[in-house]
Parts: sequence; C-alpha cells; structure tokens
Amino acid sequence: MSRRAVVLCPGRASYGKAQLGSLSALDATPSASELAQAVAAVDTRREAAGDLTVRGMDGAEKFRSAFLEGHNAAPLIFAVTAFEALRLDPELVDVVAVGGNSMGWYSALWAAGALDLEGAFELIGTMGAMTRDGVVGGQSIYPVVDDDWRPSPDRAVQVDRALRQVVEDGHAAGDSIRFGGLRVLWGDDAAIAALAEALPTVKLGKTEYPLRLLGNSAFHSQLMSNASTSGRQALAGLPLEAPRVPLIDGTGRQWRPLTTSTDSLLSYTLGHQVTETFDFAATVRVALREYAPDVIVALGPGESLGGAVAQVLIAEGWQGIHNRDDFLERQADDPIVISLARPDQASLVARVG
Amino acid sequence: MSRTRAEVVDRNLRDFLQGWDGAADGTERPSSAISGSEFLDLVESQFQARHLDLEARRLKERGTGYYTIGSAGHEGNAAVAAALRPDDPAFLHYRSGAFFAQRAKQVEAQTPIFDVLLSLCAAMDDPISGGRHKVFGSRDMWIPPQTSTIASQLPKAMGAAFAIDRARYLGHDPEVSSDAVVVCSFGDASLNHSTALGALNASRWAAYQHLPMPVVWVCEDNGLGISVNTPAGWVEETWARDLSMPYFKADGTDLVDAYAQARRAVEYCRARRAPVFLHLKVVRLLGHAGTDPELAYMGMERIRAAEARDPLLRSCEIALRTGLADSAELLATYEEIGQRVSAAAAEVETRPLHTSVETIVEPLAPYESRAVNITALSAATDEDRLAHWGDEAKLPENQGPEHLAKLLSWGLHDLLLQYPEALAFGEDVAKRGGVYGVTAGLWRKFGGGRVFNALLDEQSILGVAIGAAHLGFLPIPEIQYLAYIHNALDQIRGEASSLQFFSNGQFSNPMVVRVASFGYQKGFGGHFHNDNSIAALRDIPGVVIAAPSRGEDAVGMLRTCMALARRDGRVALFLEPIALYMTRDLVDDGDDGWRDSYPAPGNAVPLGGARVYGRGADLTLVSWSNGLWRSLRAADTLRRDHGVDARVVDLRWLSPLDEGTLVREAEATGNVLVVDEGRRTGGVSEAIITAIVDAGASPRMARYCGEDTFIPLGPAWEQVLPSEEGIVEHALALLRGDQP
Repeated sequence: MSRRAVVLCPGRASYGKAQLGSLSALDATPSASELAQAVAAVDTRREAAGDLTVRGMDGAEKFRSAFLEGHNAAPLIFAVTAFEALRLDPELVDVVAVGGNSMGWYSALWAAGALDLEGAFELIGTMGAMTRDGVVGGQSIYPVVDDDWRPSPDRAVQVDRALRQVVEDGHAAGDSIRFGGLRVLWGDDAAIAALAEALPTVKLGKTEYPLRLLGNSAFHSQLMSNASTSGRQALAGLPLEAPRVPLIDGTGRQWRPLTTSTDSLLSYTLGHQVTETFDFAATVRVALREYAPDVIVALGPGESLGGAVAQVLIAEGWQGIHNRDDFLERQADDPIVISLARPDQASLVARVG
Repeated sequence: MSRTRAEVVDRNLRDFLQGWDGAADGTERPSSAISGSEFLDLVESQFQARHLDLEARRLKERGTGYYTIGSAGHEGNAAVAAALRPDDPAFLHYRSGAFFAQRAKQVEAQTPIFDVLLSLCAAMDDPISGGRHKVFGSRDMWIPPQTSTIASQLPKAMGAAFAIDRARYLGHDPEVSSDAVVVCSFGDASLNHSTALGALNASRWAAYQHLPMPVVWVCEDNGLGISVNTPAGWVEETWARDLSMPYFKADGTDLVDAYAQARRAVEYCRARRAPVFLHLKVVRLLGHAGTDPELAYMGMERIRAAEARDPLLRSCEIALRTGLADSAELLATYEEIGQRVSAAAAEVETRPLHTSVETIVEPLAPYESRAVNITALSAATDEDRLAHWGDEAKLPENQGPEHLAKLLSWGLHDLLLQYPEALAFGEDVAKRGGVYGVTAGLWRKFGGGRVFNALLDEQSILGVAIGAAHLGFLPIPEIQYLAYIHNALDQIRGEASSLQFFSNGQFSNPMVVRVASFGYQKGFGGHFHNDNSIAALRDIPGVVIAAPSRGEDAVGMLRTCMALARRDGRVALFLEPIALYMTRDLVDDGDDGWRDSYPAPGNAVPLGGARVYGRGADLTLVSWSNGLWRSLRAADTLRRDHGVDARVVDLRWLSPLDEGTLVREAEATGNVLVVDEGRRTGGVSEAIITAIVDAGASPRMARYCGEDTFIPLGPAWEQVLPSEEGIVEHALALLRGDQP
C-alpha cells in the first residue's frame, strides 16, 4: 500500500564531496530519460558559455570549491534532486504535498509539476547566477534548540536580542532561514561580525555556533532586492503552471492545484521568497498539520534536511516524538523521515538499483 | 445497513460529481468580482469545513471527539471571510467552519484543519482554548473565541466596533487597521434573543447619531432554532425595513451571490463606519448536532429537501457549468481534503487531554502580585498631575478629609490620568457626573471621547467594555445600581470572566466595573435601588470583587483593581456602598470619623487584604461595606455599655476572601459574629463560616444577615437588614452562649 508522503527538496550546500557521482546512473535509468536530455541541453549551453557542466562536475574525481558557487551548485543540486524524485515509486508513495528549503523551493516547483524541466533549469540557472559577481552580505547560523533538539526559548531570546542590538547599531540584519532548530541569520559584513560578538558560543553536537557560512550571500533578505528585480525581468515569461500536487512555500502558504494563480506564484517565487525570511520550519509544520503524511521524504543530494525536519517533529510532538532520542528510536524502528540518499531508507519509497 | 444522514450528504456530493454529464455551457457566470481561482478557493474551504463536520461525528463514535455541532449547510460563510480582511475582528458562532478555513488562508502558516480537530478532541494542544472548549478562535486571525451562550457575543462585537474608531480618535493603537470593521455572525433563532436585539439596537442607536459603529451583522438564517421553525420571512420582515441600518440579502447556498452581497455589505460598512445587516439564507444539514433526532420533528421529506439544497452541490454545479474545473478534479479535491482531515485526526486523537485541575484553571485568574503592586503604586507624572489639578495646593492629597464619593471621584481623576487608555462610561456619568457624583468633573477634564453616557442598557454597557477591552482599552463601566447588573449578568458570567479561560490567556478583556450597591438608603428607592444580593457574582471563577467601606480604602482598592486589569487582564467588580457615599461621621455627630484624607499616589490596598480595627480580646466582628460601618458603631456600644472588647475585621475583598486574616482573628477571640448585609441564603456569611471551619478553627460563631427577601420601600427596610442594635444583641447572645 502506498504511504502518504510529503516530499522536501534541499537547498544550497547540499552537494559536497560525498555526493560526487550522484548522476552516474542517469543515462541508464529509463524513467529519467527526459531529465538526462534536459541536463544534456543545459550542459551544451554551459559548455558554450565556458561554464563547468553539470555532468562534468558530478563526474569529477575531486570535489572543487568552485562547485559550491551558486551558478554551478544550483543546477547541479537540482539535477540530483530531480533524479532522486524520479526514483520515487508510486506504488510505495502517494505524494500529498511538496516543499523545499531555500533554493529547494525552485526544485519543489518542478517536483509539484508547476514547472517543466526546462523551465526549472532556467529559473535555477538564472537565480543561481545572481551572486556570480560577488558575495553580497553573509549568513551565520545559530541553534535555537538544546542538545536534545527541543526548542530552547532562551536561545531564541538571545538571537532576537542580538538581532535587535545589531539593527539598532545601524546594521542590516535579520532572519534568512528558519531551518528547524537552526536560525540562519543574514547581515551585511559588519552585522555578521557583530552577531558573532553578540551571540555566546554554543555547541550543538560537534559544531560550534555562531557559524558563518563562508561564501554565502545574505539570501532571503532585503540585500537581495536587486536579484529579485533582475529575476523578475529575466524570468517574466517563465512557463509556470498551477502545481499538480499541493506546494507549501517558505511562509507556510499552500499553493494548490485548483486554486493557484500563476501570477501570484511567480510573484512570490521571485519576490517575497528572494527578499524575505524563508521559514522552512513553517513549511514542515504546515505539511505535518495540514497533510498529516505517513512519511516525509527528504530528497538529496545529501541528507541536509533530516535534522531540521526532526527538530520540527520534536517541536510539534508529532507521533509522540519529543526529543532527539525519541526521533532516533523511531528512525531505527520505522523511519518517519526518509532520506533518499540513504539506501536503507530509500528502499522504502523508491526503486532501488 | 442504513446510512446516517452524514453519510448520505457525503454520498450525495460524490454521486453528483460522478454522475455529472453536463457541459460547461456558460449558463452560470461567476460574478466579475471574483476570479475563477478565488471561487475554487472558497469551494475548497467549504469542502474542508464539511469534512471536519463528518470527521467530528466519526471522532465522537470512536469516543475521542466531544463536539458535533457543525457548519454543514452554512458553508457559504466562506464568502463573508473572503470579503473581509484578516485583521477585521470576527466574533463567530459555532457554524463558522468555512469562514474559519477561508480566513486561515489570509494569514501566514495557519493550520486550520489540525487546529479545529484539536479543539473537537479537547486536546491540550488546541491552540486557542488549550482544550477547554470547542471554539473557533485564533489570535493570529483576530478571531476571539466564542462559546455557545446564545447571542452573547453580539454586545461585545458592537463594543469592539465602537472601539476601533474611538481608538483612532483618541490616538490609541487598537492593534487592527484604523479602517477595520467587526464581523459578527449568529443564527436566525438567536436573533430573537434579547441580547442580540439589544446589541443590534445599540449599534443602530449609535449610527442614528452618526457615531462610528463599523460592524457587519451576519444573520445565517437556516430557518430553524434546533426544532423550532423561524416564521417564514420573519428576519427579512423585521430587518429589511430598518431605516437606520442597511440590509443586504444573499442566498448563502450560492457562493457567487453570497460573495457579491458580502462585499457590498463590507464595503458599505468600512467606508461609512456604520452597521449593516447581512442576511444569508442558508440551510441546516445533519441536524442541530450529532445527537439531534431531527427526523422526529422534520420528517424525511423535509430533511431530503434540505439536503438537496446543500451549498456544496451548488458550488460544484457553478464550477462545472462555468468550466472552472471538471467533475474529476472536484471529486479528487473533495477526496484529497477528506483524506487529509482523517489523517490529521489520527494524530490529534493521540494528543493529551487535561487530567489535572491545575492545568485546567491555569489561565483563569492570573495574578502576578509583584507587577500588580508596582503598577498599583505608580501614578501619572507629577507634572501631569499638577497640570490636571491646577497646582500643588489643589492636589487631592493636600485637601482635608472627604467622604467616600468625593475620594472615589478624585481617585478616578488620577486613574484616568495614569491610564490614557482608560474609558469611563455608563448611564448619566458624563455631564451629570453620575447619580451620586462619583464621576463628577471627569467629562469636563477628559472629554467626551473617554467619558461618556451610554444608552440605557446594561448588556450594551458591558458589551462596550468587553469589546473595547479586546482592542486595548481599559474600560471602567458604571452600572448605576446593583440590581441592574443582574439583567446583564451573562456578559460578566458567560463572557468577560471566561475569555482568558477559553482563549488560554491569549485574549483578555480587562475592566473594572463600578457598581453603586447595597441597601440602607433610609427607605428610599425600594428594592431595585437597594439590592443587597451578590450571590450570583461571587461564584464566577476568576472575577475579583471589591467591596470598600470607606474612602481611603476605596481609592487604594480601585488602584489595585486597575492594576489587576492592566497587568493580568482581570475583570474586577467594584461594589460601592451608596448609603456610605456621603457619610461623614462614625460614632457621634460631627466626629468626622468616616471622612478620610485622600491617599497620595504610592498607596494601594493589596488584593484580598482585610483590615482589622482594634485588638479587642472578647469578640471578633466580621463584616464589610455598610455592615462594617455598623459593626464599628456596635463595637463602640459594646465597649461602652457592656464592657465587651471587640475587634472588627473589614474583609474589603469578597473575592478572593482573606481567609488567613479571618481565621487568625477568629481564633484570637474565640467568638465570631459575622455581620452580612446580604441575604442569609447564598450570602458571603456562608463562605466565611465555612472558611473558618475548613481551617480547623472552632470558635463560637454566629451570623447576623439580611433576611431572604427583597428590600421593601419605606421604613420597613429596617426589618430586613442588620441593624446596629441587632449587632449588639447578637453579640451579647453569642457571648452568653445562647443558641441562635
């Protein structure tokens, strides 16, 4: 029997060294022939423009930092995400809603049927290249959960206070992404430095915070307003359609098949989504409460979404999951969050091999 | 096996869609006011509300749901939500599922399916009531929760509407847009309730005088009040001809018509700041509630006729005929929403329920004593006070002793200065300064925006208080006589006192209700100006009852009541003894024993703190208000004429009772006489004796109470209320050990 699944698409920084070769089976997968063609078309254009190709990057022997740059990472990540989505087995999963984190929103538009592959690559290529001329501002991460991944109101207050202070001091700063138990903060360079000063150093797992995301721009912030304007100009004719499966955006709003205005969807995608906080926690929360899926499928590349989703599950007390141990126990018995990047979990929802 | 009507109604829609072979023939045209996707958006809200109704019945069958009054047949109210903005305060009745679903789409990240299910299951995670009632409510969506008291939400809706424009006029932030309107829905049966008619009348009364009153009254007329038919045409006949309030009528089973008329009504209301009456003709499906044996009084033919008018069928037909969607799409959407509702219900059923008194009562009577005391001890700035009073010499604390009414009046001046959001209103409170002069000078000093006369309707006065308090005001309504609060008491009992409880502390309606109270007016006024009954006030959970006896206490207690309202959102009833308003002396003529100096700012009487007079070792007299004044005089007689040394406890607060002081003072003498000017049955004396017994103390005790009667006119009153001489006699009898 197929299980009701919410499918989530990852954002930037999901493709790293471990993900090299994710597309190696692309040509040999009949169900992905359209994707293979689309990637080939993209690569032809990229080659002509002197850019690294998607297949070339994925097939490289060594991972290079250039792969992390937006104009390279974005199409690479999308290609892998799409490839994974195509592996989902309709006999095993009934996709009831789709969402994504940050850049994953663009992938989600395709996964929900609001964009075809060509349109998705165009959107992703255009928006991914927006910061090509240089990084604009930066991002820094700070946890708002405790070691058990339960919400920590004290830490949230600290972040709010630090942001308020930094803004009062005349810097531009705010929330970029609400990523489950992590707040990704944006700011101009001075603000990021000030936040590093203002926030006490804490450890979650093995990682110390605040943690600056090197090379990242201040995504989902007012510093991206030029990107938004350029995007609206470049992508005015993007062939968006109403999604075939409900989409949940980075505000928690649902875009549903019968009721979506494509003008509004385009406007959100290139406007609010680019210049305002991306609340991925709201995406997951709404997905849980309004779609009550049996499982949440986190598409790759990588497993970057699992922790954030788990932290929302914990905040919601979903199916009796109230802390990290509950979650891990549940995952061991009967995974509720399924990462396609993990073969043991992938077999629950996807064609394997 | 025969199907339930819920299954039939569900099946009807599926059959209709599966059997549809019509064409998009253009015979139906959505209004130009609404796009195709907007129309379908409303239809989805209707589907959602319907599935929640169906799920509510399944939950009840499984023993995990506790509420089955549904919205089926009323789903056209989604169109009303669509015509409004999400910060237009909405006071909804219990058939508002589609309105709720639709408004949820106007606010980010809402989860109405899950939230309604939590409420149906009385789960502690219910985001609005915390599992205390099935309500439609949401802080984010500006929907204060409503319970099911008939039409009791209309007065406060009127009050909230009044407050929006009053806030703009006074420069306060009402937390909603300055051109917001209030929407309030109710049924055709409850429209007949005097509470509804009073609120509608109050809104017309305001509009007639061109006072802003932006409220959209939505009568969802399904023709039935449980089993009683509303006479055909009654609503229209009564309201369509009303010249002071525009009437809009729509077929509530038809989204296109409902939306068009709702928009007209809302636009008129918003632009003109005037009340409007929107009459939505709807149909009731699935009975009054899950347990309603409607077959017995409706008959199958009529039930089927109603089911044929299912608004969801009509919505689908419009969508199909206009080609907005095909039948497969509509059916798939209907089923998809049903699956989501059922899947969410399975999760909700696992959520914890209340299992302890502590969690249930948590939001009932919040009291942060430190914050309250700090606020009670604060005041307007010296500069503002000097500007108000004139100069240093004119400050009230620099005047000589004055009687209760004067000190209260001064106290109110200072409090209106301290709290710019405070409003004082009631019958005759403005120019006249109140029947007893307590509000004297307030209107002149603070203006008609903050100090104003109300129409002669206590439900409306309290409704203005509740509604204005929702929007950030701190109302000080005056009820002219204690007897008059009883004709409007549900506004306190069912509404004001319950808001924090049913909203889990998210909404509050802070207020201090001043009530001129009690008897002893020397034969004048008869019962309704001498009412001495407060039994119906004392058992209201969370409500503070202050009953001062003298001026200095009254000012200090009023400061605390205001602080409780401001800091903790509490509702306080402030009972002022009319007979002591102008009293100057205590024992002897000219002794000035009952005139006090005005307590300077920085003095207050803490909540629940009794006051003890004397340290007499023979007897403890316990009283308050008029009884206190008489007890002090009686204590003097006892000492002078009988050698009995009594101490006298003034409880001051009747809720909460200062049980600690009571027990301590009772044990100090071992002889307790409670002097209760209220009735013997149900009066405070019962609680006092009980408190002493419960504490394990065993003094000799007796009660001297008002008789169980109404107060007669003329000198006969003396027969029924405790007298000074009677106190002496009862005290001596107690000390002799006479059986009462």
